[in-house]
Amino acid sequence: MTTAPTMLNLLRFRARTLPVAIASSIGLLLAGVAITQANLPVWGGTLMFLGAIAVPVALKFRDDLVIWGAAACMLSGLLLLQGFHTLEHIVQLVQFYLLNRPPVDSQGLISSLNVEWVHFIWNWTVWGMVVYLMRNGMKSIWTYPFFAWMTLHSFEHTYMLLNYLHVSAELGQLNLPQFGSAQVLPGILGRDGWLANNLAFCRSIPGLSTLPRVAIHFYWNIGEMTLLLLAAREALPKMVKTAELRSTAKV
Amino acid sequence: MKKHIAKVIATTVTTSLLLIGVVVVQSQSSDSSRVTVAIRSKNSLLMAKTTCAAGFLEHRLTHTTKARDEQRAVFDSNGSGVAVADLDDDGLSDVVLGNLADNVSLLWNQGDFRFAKKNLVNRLDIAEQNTRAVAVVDVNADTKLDIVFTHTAGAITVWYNQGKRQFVQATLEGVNVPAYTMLWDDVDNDGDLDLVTSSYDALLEAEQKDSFMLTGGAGTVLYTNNAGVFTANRLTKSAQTLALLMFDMNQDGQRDLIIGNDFADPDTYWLNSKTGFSTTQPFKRITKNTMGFSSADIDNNGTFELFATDMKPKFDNLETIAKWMPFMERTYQKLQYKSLQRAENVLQTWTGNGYQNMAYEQNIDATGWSWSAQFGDLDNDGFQDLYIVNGMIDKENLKYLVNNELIEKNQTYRNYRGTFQKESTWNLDTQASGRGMVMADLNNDGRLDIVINNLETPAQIFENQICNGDSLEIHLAWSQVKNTKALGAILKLYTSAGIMQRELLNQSGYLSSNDTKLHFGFNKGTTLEKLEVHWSDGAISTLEKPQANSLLEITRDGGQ
Repeated sequence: MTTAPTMLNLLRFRARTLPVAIASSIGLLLAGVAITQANLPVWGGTLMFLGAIAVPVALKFRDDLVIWGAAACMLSGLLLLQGFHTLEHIVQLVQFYLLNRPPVDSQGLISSLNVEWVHFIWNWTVWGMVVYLMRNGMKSIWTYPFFAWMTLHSFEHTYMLLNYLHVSAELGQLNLPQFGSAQVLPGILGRDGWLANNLAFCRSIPGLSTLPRVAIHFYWNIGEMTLLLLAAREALPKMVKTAELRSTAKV
Repeated sequence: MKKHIAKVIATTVTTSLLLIGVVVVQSQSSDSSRVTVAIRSKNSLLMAKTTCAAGFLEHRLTHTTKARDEQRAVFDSNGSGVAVADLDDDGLSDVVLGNLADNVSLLWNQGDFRFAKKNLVNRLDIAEQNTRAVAVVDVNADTKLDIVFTHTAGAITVWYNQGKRQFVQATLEGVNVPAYTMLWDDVDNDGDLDLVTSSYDALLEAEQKDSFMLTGGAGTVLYTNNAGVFTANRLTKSAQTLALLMFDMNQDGQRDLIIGNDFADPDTYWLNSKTGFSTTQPFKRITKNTMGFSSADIDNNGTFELFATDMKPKFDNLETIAKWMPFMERTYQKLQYKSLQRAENVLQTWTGNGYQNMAYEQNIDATGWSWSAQFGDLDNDGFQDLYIVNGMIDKENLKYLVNNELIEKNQTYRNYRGTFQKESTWNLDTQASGRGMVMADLNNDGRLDIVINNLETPAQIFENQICNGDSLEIHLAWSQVKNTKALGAILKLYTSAGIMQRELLNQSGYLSSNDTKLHFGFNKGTTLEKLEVHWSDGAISTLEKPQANSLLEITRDGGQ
């Protein structure tokens, strides 16, 4: 019988710590040189780094799969990816508020992926993963608020994608190229968003319809990450047990 | 015929109601240093409201402001202004429309929204063209209103009113710095009219090329009137000014000067004191491309709000957003969180401890490519509504659009006790590329009509047919001083529904000049308790129980 992991155990690289550390060092070094010496954009350097650590990190997930089963492995991956995603939003916030950069230069570490299609696919993929996890034991008092939160977040990205497609079609009719600013149209919440345009009284509520997109999505992700951690912590032992029972039943 | 009879009756009633000699010398101010002065008043009934409808009726005028067709004329896209005032003392306000590649129009008001058009032609048979701002103001203090123009390049010209609908063109001695915008007011409160002009240097550079560098520049100039001689005091050596306004920024009772600049040149703010002007910065957030200024006490709380127009589309209209996209791409490129300026309208509201921009909260921050904005009580309910004209034609920036034109509807906002809500039922949603715009009661029926000088589209008048409420209109005169029309005066109307106030400003909005007749609207049944006139020299006059639905002609004799 496998001992149920704690959250920290799940997130640790364990036997893969040294390969990940070496790959990270090489990745950081190469990315740093490429950015500072070869004028590679930050997003290019970030992709180099992610490429360098891809193999040892993938091996860590294979370990998770073998030890604790598919659900825990997926949860582990989700925590890591969503954690990086949240870090991306923190960087955006720092760029915007602390470094006082304009929105077009406050797009995080992988700015070229800061496009509506990526946000849309990312959020609904995460949504799909969560549905899978819920069907495989991730059920706790925190799971349902987490699920509701991320569903609403995904709807916001759907609304933004539809707006983007609408504007893109209009730009196409005008024979105009697709502009970067079309990617940063407001959503349902935030400054100039649907709520602000359709329910004027909301404009006086601080935050809800006054914050810029960069801050709104920071809060969406901070909320999502917090609820995910709480749900995962609560449900992890049950998930491992469910996986064990299933494998026992198969045997 | 019926209208004619109505006019005759109204005139008869008017004559019979002449009340001369109402003199009230009673101070209502808590400030004991305020001087109270005597006034004469004459009361005549306004015309009855003969037509009633849900909104406004459009009249197209026989004037079209034409842009020059040359490539250099890129700033012709900015269009021209408009002025409304009674130039021939027949009791009906006339209209002066500026023009660029064609002649300026003077439209004599014949009543019933019929106008007789006349061009202003000088002794050399040259018609006035290429004008920007228009002002109707008594420059030479002969009590007759003159017409003043700024131009695409060069100094201002004055058309002195000779009476009997005749004008003579002249230049003002000592006033020679190129001007795009102008402001006439008793800036130093000495009883005569001073002049502030400011240039739009981008236009001068485009027109004059390298020679602009040799002209000594332009900028903002305060011309102080000393016994009819203007003395220049240059406030700034360069400017990109599209709007000027007198506005009391620090609530000290003294009106200050605001200079609104285009192209990210920050607006400049000049505090007015007995020792002269000094710069200040009273606002935390301001417009980036200031197009127009207007002010009003929108919630009747005793302080005036300042509204400035800029360029920002409404994000709920994605077709329009797409048309803006290439322009926004550049405009928003450098938008920073901490930036003082932002490309959106602002509504500066006094909080008791400084100003707060409330345009976003009021949902009036994004109204399109906005030019002239004016406040006025269009539905006579006691609160001033807001009308904003929009549109742009630009061969450079909008060359990707059909006819290089960004077509946008004008925006109307109805004021519900200090809160604005978009109003789309008044038939004011025209999309004719408006620039200059003013509100004035053109048929003396107690309702504010709207005059718009469009670019490349005939000018329009919107006849107000809303039959709500009652009104009071006031015409001020100040004899024995050179500020004969009492510019700068503030009127406070005390009613059972609260205190309303209006300021007699010659210039507001964009390149436009207001009627000398002020308008108050209020709901039916409202009791009018008294009217206070706060003259520009600080003196106060009071008139008890003014009559609703009448035109009050108030005259002050001397007193400086």
